[in-house]
Order: sequence, then C-alpha cells, then structure tokens
Amino acid sequence: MALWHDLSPWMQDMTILLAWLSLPGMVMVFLLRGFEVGGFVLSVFWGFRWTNLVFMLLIAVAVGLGVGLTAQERGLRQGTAKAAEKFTLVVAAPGSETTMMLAAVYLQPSDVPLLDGEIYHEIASHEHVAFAAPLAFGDSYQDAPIVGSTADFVAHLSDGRIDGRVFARSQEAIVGAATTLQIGERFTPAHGAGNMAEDDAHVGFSYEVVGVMERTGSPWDRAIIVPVEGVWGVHGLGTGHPLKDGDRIGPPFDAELFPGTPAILVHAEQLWANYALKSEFTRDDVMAFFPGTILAELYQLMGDVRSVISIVVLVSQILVASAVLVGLTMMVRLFARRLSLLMVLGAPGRFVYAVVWSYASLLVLVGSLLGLLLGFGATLVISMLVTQQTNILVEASLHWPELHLVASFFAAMSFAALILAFFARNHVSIERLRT
Amino acid sequence: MIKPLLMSALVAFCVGLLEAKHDAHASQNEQKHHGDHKGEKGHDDHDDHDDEKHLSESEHVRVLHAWTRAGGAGAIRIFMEIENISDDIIMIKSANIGDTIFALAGLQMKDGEPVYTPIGQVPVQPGRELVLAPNGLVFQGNWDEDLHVGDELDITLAVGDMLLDVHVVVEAKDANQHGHAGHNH
Repeated sequence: MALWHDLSPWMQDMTILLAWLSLPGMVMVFLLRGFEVGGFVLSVFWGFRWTNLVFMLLIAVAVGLGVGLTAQERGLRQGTAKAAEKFTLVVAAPGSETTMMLAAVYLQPSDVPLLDGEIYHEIASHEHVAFAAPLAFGDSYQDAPIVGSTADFVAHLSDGRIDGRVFARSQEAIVGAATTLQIGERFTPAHGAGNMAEDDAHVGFSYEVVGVMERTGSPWDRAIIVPVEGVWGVHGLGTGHPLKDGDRIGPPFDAELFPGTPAILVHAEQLWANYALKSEFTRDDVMAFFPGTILAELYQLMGDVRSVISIVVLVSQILVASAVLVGLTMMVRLFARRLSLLMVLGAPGRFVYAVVWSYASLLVLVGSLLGLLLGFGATLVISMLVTQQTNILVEASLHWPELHLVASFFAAMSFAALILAFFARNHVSIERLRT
Repeated sequence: MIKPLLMSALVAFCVGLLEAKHDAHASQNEQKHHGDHKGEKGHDDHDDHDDEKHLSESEHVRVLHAWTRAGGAGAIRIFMEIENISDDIIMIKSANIGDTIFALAGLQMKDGEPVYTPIGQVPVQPGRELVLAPNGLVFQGNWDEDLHVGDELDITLAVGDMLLDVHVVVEAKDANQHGHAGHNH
C-alpha cells in the first residue's frame, strides 16, 4: 500500500488502466500463441458486417451512456466550481446560504434582507480584509442583470482583463463578454428582471458602457456591473457618500448614509484570514459563508445521484452484453462448418477458441471505442448547450475514469467471450461436416 | 424561454437537493439523539459522563462535539466546535496524538476541484466560535490505524501556548456532523 501511495496520481491511473487491459492481453497471448487468425476473423467480420455493425452499435450505446454520464457530471461540477472560485467568502443577512449563493454567484434573482452601513463598515475596515465589495441586485437590461458594486470587485472578477476601462463615474458600466452591449453604447435600466421588469421605471437615467470584461466562464459574462452608487442613486436612496463628495464612487462609504446591500463579497489575502472572518461575522445579525463549502456539499449529493444512475447504466451494460453474447452464440453456429473444416485439415481445438474469442473481442473493442467517441460527442454537445444557456463554462473532456470504464468493460466482455469460445468449441466437430 | 427554464430547473434541483439533505440530517440526528438518550427525562439531563465525552473546557476555550469519520488507515480529518470563552484573542494551532500531528487545513476550489490547503493557525475573537466541519476548516493528518464507528480518540489541542485534551468520537464514514450536533450543552 505504501508503494501505491508513493505513486503519482498519473502513475496510479495508468497502472489501473494497464491492469484492466492486461487481462484480455493475457488471454490473447495464451490463446493466440503460434496462430495466425487475423485473416479468418476479418473474413467473418466482413461476411456478417451488418449484423456485426448492429452488435457494435448496441455496445457503443451502452458504453457511451456510462462515459457520457461520468464526463458530463465532472464537466458540470468543474464548471460550476470555477464560476464560484472568485467568491471565497460572502457575508449576508441571516437566512438561506444556498439562496444567497445562487443570488451572489449565479445571479439568480431573490428577495433577501439588506446589511446596513455599520456592518459594511465593520467588515470593510477589518484588518484582515483586502477589500469588501457590496453586491446590489434588482435592475436589468434586456436579459442581463445589473449588479452594483465597486471597481475592486470588477478587477477581482476579471483579473484585470478588461477591454476599455473600469467605471469612474456612477453612470458608467462594465459589461460581461456575453452581453450585446459595446463600449460607448448607452442604455436605460429596467426595474426588476424577467417578465416582471418595468422598462419605463428609470426613464431619463442611463449608463454608458466604458469597458467589456473578457470571458470568465461564469454567469457574470451576461451581467452588467455598474458602480453601486448608480444602483442606489437611480432608486432615490442616495449614494452612500455626503453630498459634498459629488459623483465620487467607491469606498469608503459613510456608514450612516449607506443605503444597504444584500451581500458583501469579502476578499482576504490569506486563506486563514477567511476562516477567522467567517468566525467573526457569523452571529445573530449577520452570516458569513463559503460558496465553495455549499458547492462541495452539493457535489457530494450529485455524486450520490450519479452513483444511483451509474447502477442503472451498469445494468443496461450487463443487459446489452448478455444480448450481444447470446446473439454471437447464434452467429458462431453460422460459421461453425468452416471451423469444422479447418479442424479436418488439422487445426487444433485451441484454434477454434482463438478464432471465436478474437472475433468476439474485436467486436467488443470496436464497439467500446465507438462508445467512447459517442459518449464524448454527447458530452460535447450537452456541454455546449448548457454553456450557451447558463454562461457557466462547461467543458467536455475525457479523463481517466472514462478510460477505466471502457477498459473494465472490455476486460469483462473479453472474459465472457471465453464462454462463447467454449460453446463454439463444443459445436465444432468433424461430425458436423457430415450433417 | 429555454434559458430561464433551464436556470430555474437547475436552481430548483440545487435547492431541493440541499434541503432534502438538511431534512435528512435533522431527522437522522433527531433519531440518533433520541436513541442515545433512552430513559432520560430530557436533553438537559445529560449525565456528567456524557458531557465529559462531548465537551472539553479550560478557562479560555470550550471545545464541543469533536468527531471524525470511520475509515481505513491513512489521512483523516477531525471536526469540532471551538468557542473562545476568554476576553482575549486565542490562536487555534493544531492537534496531536503523541507524535502524530493534525494540522489545520481549509477547503478551497482550485481549477474546479475542492482541495484542502494547509493553514498555519486561525485567530478566534473573544466570544466567537470556530467551527471545524466537513467541506470547510478541518484538522488533517495521517492515522495509521483503522477507525470504526464507536471508536474514540484522545487528542491534545494546541490553543496558543495552552494545551487541552479533547475526546474525539468516530462517526459513520459518510457522517456530516457529530451525532449530538445542534444541541446545547
């Protein structure tokens, strides 16, 4: 065990893959040594090509389901986690952490209580906090949610990758890469979002787009980020600053003039500081949570769901494998006379085993590889659709679990093919030529 | 039209799953708790022995519900609730059993995967609580013996310059909280 743990993850995965493949490899070496069965097997393959094709497609669908399920679950998990990576610690009014995470990270509209200026000031002025960005939701433009925040937040979210510049006035905006707005365009926000949005609620007020963020792979790609002062101002709530400050934007805010915010993204330079802050800001009037923790809980549940679905997929694979083996048993009877003839000419019994096993294994191998491609293709299409619809970048990729799945299926089937070969050997005899 | 439907379905699925999980935990916890206290008049009637197992206390710090998961020898994580009952900031550093050190580690998302990253120490303000729980902050280390449900470990917690003995119970391998979590002592 110690040796196993000393291996790198890549070496461990490669060892598992080779271990699975070594099983049919050993059978092949044992059965095929000294024989040239390639010509005979290929002729059978071509002779019954349409039937073989149906068998291979059945195998491909069964394997593809398993591959697709594993790859898609991983793609969704990684995509949603990457979208949340910038949101280490979120502080909000006490309530549902899940609802707040969906609102702050995935921009799902929700009605939540506000945090007041004193709490914001307490957080923003904390010695361990690098910056605290208010996140104010509620308005929209077409399908794009408008979020009020600060320049620090934009820089953090985009890693500074902005075409144009960050906003400098309360009526300027930065847009995500998936919006249709361009630099220089002006737009009037609607009050609310979706079908209930009031397009004419803020007539006479407009934002000018001054920058476009590069794609982040998160729902924020379809968002419009404006200074939080803009959101407060258009709702007649003031700006969080004294009047004498004019159109100044960004922190510090005056605690007494701070209109309130549903959530605050807290960024600390050190990981330990995040836990210290969570401890400090978990109390009766405020809650702090890690979106990553909620997602990790969700992934455990998704893993449980996947395990259940995996059993269904496994059962379907067993059913398909059984059906294919029964079908092949019938097929073998069709060329049993040719094998019997070879035995008359002096071929040993092991040759029959070798031919039938090679034929069945080749069929399973091709079907499995087709399944791998089919599963990957399905994942590619579904990932693309999910990305288009949600802006969460879901990437399709093949990794070790899929390769292990295909290798284990092939290994199990190639062992089952030995039973088929045994059956065939019993049907092949010199007497059969006389019937 | 499809976009809001898809997002709504995703949100409903997420919330449904999490709520179902929380309900299951609450129910499981309640059942387990009732089972553990058969014959008792009420929760406040915990006997001294029970309190000793779930609670460790010094004049500065109170540690409640320390637990870990059953499993084979190897990396284990220990969870607990640590409350600063002093008037000063305390530093939570590490825990140990003899020479075996369990260091603080925090969950982070890196390239879409949750990973535990070592953390040196975490300060806790007076009157505040630091919760070590799955998918968050944990004590992490290697333990060379198998752990079974019902086993117990005695660890020493390093809080600043002080040491505190803490009793750790072993819960099921898929447990997400201490069997008595959520109850006041």
